[in-house]
Amino acid sequence: MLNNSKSIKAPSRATAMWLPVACVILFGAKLACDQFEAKCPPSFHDHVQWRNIQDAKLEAKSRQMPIFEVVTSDFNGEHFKTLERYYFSDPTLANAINKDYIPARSISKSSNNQWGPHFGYDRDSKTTVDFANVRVIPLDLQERSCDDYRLPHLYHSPGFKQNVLVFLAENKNYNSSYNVSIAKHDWCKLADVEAKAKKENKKILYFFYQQYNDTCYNVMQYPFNDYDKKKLLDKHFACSIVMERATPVTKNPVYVDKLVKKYEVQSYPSLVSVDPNTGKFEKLGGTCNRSEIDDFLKKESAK
Amino acid sequence: MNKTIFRTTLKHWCSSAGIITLCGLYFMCLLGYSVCTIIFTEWQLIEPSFVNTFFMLPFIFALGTGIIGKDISSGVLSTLFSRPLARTKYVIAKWVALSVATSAIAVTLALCEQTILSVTYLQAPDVNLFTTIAERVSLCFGLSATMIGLSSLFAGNKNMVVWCVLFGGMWILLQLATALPSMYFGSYFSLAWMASFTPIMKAIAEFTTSICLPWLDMTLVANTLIPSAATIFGYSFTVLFMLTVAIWRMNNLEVSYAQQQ
Repeated sequence: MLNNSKSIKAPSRATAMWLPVACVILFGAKLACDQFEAKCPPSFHDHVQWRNIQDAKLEAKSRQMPIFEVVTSDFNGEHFKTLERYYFSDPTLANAINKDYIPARSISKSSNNQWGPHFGYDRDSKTTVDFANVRVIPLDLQERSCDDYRLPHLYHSPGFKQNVLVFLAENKNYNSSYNVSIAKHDWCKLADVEAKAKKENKKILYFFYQQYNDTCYNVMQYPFNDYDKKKLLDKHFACSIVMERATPVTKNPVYVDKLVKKYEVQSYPSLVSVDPNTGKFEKLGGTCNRSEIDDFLKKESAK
Repeated sequence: MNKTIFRTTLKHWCSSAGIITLCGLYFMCLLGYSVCTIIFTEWQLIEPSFVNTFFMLPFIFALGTGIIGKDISSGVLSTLFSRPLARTKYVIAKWVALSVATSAIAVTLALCEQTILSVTYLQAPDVNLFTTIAERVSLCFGLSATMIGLSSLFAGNKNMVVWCVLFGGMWILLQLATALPSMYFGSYFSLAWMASFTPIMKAIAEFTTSICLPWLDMTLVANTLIPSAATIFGYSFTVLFMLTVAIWRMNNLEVSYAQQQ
């Protein structure tokens, strides 16, 4: 006989009232917090120990360390918030900056041009110390074709942090002595380089360098920092700098234009190795990394 | 939550050769991408994650397309709901199953990346693994709720189509809204137009993005002195709202054999 005393109760099909109520409360809370955060935006843990730019310069001089200078158009505005969020709130990046650099903040007063704040090397002519302004370009420059920056773009994408870490690691020993090493090199005059190369049975190595271009400066200084590389250059090449100075206002000297045309230089910096006897040339152009420069120099010196 | 439905849903995915192959291939692609990045860029320092959080989307789409809609269109629901099964529990079981499955993939992928890095550099990576995993898992739980909500409203695989239309449509609309005035009326008009309509467009973009891509940006949530409460409330609202929609829809859905015939 069937036992119907324990009847199965049909489950309720009513939607719990607290669900829509909770939704409304959460949405209201979100709107309220949006309003509040618009007035008082959340600030990030800034792990970098910033100094005043003047103090940083003194410290850089005494400790012979590069300055990590952040130039923004306003002190606590949108630019710095973004930098804080992506760079300085990250403990790994902040540690690298604090350890290897002297971090300094400064505000550009000439930020009304289309390139945003003006950046330039800060070379103290009296003390002859070259401060390496390892600068951070504000966010508004990231989409413009400006070569004159030294940190990678500020995109929050996979790999961006890596680029910055590599950059910081590469430049941490960047101090005045490197510039001296470039200046002290026995550069040939453009007019004499061919004759000297033929006489000493060497190849010509042209460094096509664009004025005010930091990437060029970094690439240029690399071979001269390394004793072996410098020895290699001295042994196999007669080196000469070709300075490209063309701007909307100034023009290149004719001999520079001729060389640019002859060696089909389209990007800066470019290293061109020329055999003076045959006139054959090899070129390494654009922003190249250290291993590419090494390979190029090795290959050309072995020929 | 109904454990039987939870288990059955997971079993269905595990037994589906197509889904396993698709997820496996994509998984291998992502791992391959990680390895290639190490080899070709000669990275010497350690990056927290090669794989962007949004690379999780294909996994969620592969598993979540038609998660309830297929049951509606195939008539499975008629059989299921003829039993004394609370429909709320059915929806929650489906959501938990989808979230757990995709989160498991996300965590596995993150751990694989870390293992590759550790093996490559013979040292433990200096990364915030918690942040990476938390971001991905939040996306898995959030987007699963959206897929469940849309799937309950649209039969078959249409939840995927609706998601694409919502998200893609929003972006196309925004692009057109920016580009068209400047094309036809010049930049001065465009600037004025943008100035007056930007808040509206921003609101549309924010709302659609919060519905289509609910996730917790851990940089905003965990790395700030004052954690962004708006982000947390917004995320919770989206998840609860989409689940409420799904539960309401299921409770009001009339399914019977007669309807099927």
